[in-house]
Amino acid sequence: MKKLILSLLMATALTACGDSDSDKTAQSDAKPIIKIGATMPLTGDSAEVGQATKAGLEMVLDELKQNNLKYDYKIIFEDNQMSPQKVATTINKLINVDKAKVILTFWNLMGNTAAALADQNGVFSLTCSIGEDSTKGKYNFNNYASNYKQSKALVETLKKKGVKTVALITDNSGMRQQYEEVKDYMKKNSDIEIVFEEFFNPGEMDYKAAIIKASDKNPDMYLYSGYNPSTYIFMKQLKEITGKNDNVTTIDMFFDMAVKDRDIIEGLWYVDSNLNGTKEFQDKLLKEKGLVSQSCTGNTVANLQIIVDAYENAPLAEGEVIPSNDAVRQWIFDNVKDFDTYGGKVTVVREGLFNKSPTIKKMINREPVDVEE
Amino acid sequence: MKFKRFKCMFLNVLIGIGKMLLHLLLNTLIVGAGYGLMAMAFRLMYSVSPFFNMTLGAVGALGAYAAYGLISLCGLPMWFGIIGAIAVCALFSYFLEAGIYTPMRNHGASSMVLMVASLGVYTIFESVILLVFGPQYQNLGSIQSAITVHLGFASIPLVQALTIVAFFVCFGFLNYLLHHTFIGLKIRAVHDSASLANTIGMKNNQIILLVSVLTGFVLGIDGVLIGYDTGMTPTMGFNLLFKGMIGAIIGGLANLRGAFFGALFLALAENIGVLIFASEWRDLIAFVIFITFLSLRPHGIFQKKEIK
Repeated sequence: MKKLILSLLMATALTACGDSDSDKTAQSDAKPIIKIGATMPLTGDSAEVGQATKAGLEMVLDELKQNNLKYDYKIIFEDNQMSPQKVATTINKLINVDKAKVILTFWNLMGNTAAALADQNGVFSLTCSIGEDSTKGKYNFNNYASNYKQSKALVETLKKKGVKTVALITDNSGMRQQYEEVKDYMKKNSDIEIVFEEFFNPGEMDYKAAIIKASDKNPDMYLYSGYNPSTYIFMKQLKEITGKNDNVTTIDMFFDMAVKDRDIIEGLWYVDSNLNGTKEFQDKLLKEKGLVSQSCTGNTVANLQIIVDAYENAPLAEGEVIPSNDAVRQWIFDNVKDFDTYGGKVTVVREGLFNKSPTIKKMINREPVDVEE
Repeated sequence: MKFKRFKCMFLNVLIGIGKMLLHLLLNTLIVGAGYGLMAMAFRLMYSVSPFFNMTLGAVGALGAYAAYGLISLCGLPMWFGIIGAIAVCALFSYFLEAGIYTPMRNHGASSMVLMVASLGVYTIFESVILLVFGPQYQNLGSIQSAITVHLGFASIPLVQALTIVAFFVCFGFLNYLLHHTFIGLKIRAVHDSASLANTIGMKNNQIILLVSVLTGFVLGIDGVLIGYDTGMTPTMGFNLLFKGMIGAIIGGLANLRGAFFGALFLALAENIGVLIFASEWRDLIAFVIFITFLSLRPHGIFQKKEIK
């Protein structure tokens, strides 16, 4: 009896354990599975961004699957809580245990780690992050408007508005690198003087002391950058201390506040890299999932669209079940030109950078609107 | 003529510096008041239950979220929502003490064990807030932008003025309670020597539960004010606790006055540091002061060293 039960148990276990290799076609009519790993903060301080991006990816994948795809795509999500250790652990798990062919991430910490590990293991890494490190590697791509283009858009607009002096107040994170390029462009291509400069640690909630110091220099414009609700709090405190906040601009607006609170940023103009995605995508995400698109949500979703399209259309060599990495990569370089995605029109340029031209947007009636400045 | 022009310029510079310093002092008061409410709550609770209770941060955060739930989600009138939120905090603090820490203490749990337990409770609380309210930043409303208090050289939002008022009122109330009432006498007796108080028939656990309600009350006020001022996120509790705790330790945990002045001192040091150096040094300054006091004067500014 015991032997019978044991045999039955073993048989059940063997049946339950499938081969996780995505190249295998178990039955003749089953689609080959392509696993896509996505590591992001689903809990912790940045959970809002991770949750919105996860919802966006699921929503878009469901939409793509309605097109009778050749392959079956599965996204495996891992929570890294924005901890460097967990970022590395989850990426290793996705690549080595789950056998993911593609790793999707966003922001520098995750993007750079994924790029390095993906390169070591010969899988794709697609990210949305500031800086060039995430494009190093044969199968690595970064979906981000170049810092140079953003800096140019910002400084040229400031010049058109007759701005002579600026106060630079920014987050001491990846944003700082971006603003170093802004400063560099400003020095080489304009007469605009930086009269005040201060950096904050991420998560800061009290800008009053810095605003008091900066307002003493009477800048024409405040150049502010930060994640999470800091832009809202900065503008609120700027108005409390100086009486106005219509002299602030930024690169990329992160709508991490309820729509009702956007009154505080009414009239704000800014350089937009479409990190949150197109209006169509943002409206769709809000309607279907009840979530506001966040920093890099649009670009991460765009990366999914690009990689799925690449796999669907890349040629198959004889004996292959799914296209090789080289074939997918070549398809991307040949075809991603003004490619329409939920992150806007994207073109692949040198070394795996998906580039977009930033636009100038202005907050009108609580919504970002494209403007000519 | 040149001298007159120079004198004019010099005066303008002096006025400018003076205005800036006044603004910074005002900011010190506002920030210090915020730290001070938590510092007083921390000191009060620590006086009868001497362990580093991480759930105080959770109670403060609950004040903001309870107000948000009652006012924004349930549609209660503002003042009902605020009073309700403060009551929820007081009750939450009571149930934490009655349900978790008192039983643990009665079973002989050490301060370290209680602290670890409080960390676990805090983590659970944070996760629950995330599940119920989501990860998105929330704000209790924009009343602050509509009403400002004019002070001549500056205007501050009503909510920040209320924070300063609440700080002084809570200090006054708690100080009166501790030093001029029979309940306060009992609380001080338990603080001075819990074992002796027990020996003479005082019901220490009841005193501790009462103090937990008072603590919840103060933290509820703090949480609501923060919810209106800078808004809330699920992870706000730890930051709330951290600065208040440092303020209480700097001032000295022996009496309430220590927490009051310790919080103001911390806010002043931070603002001076930001003025001289930069904003990114703020937390570093807080830590340096904290470590310095722990090393050189662990009993704080106002507490006399114990003679053994």
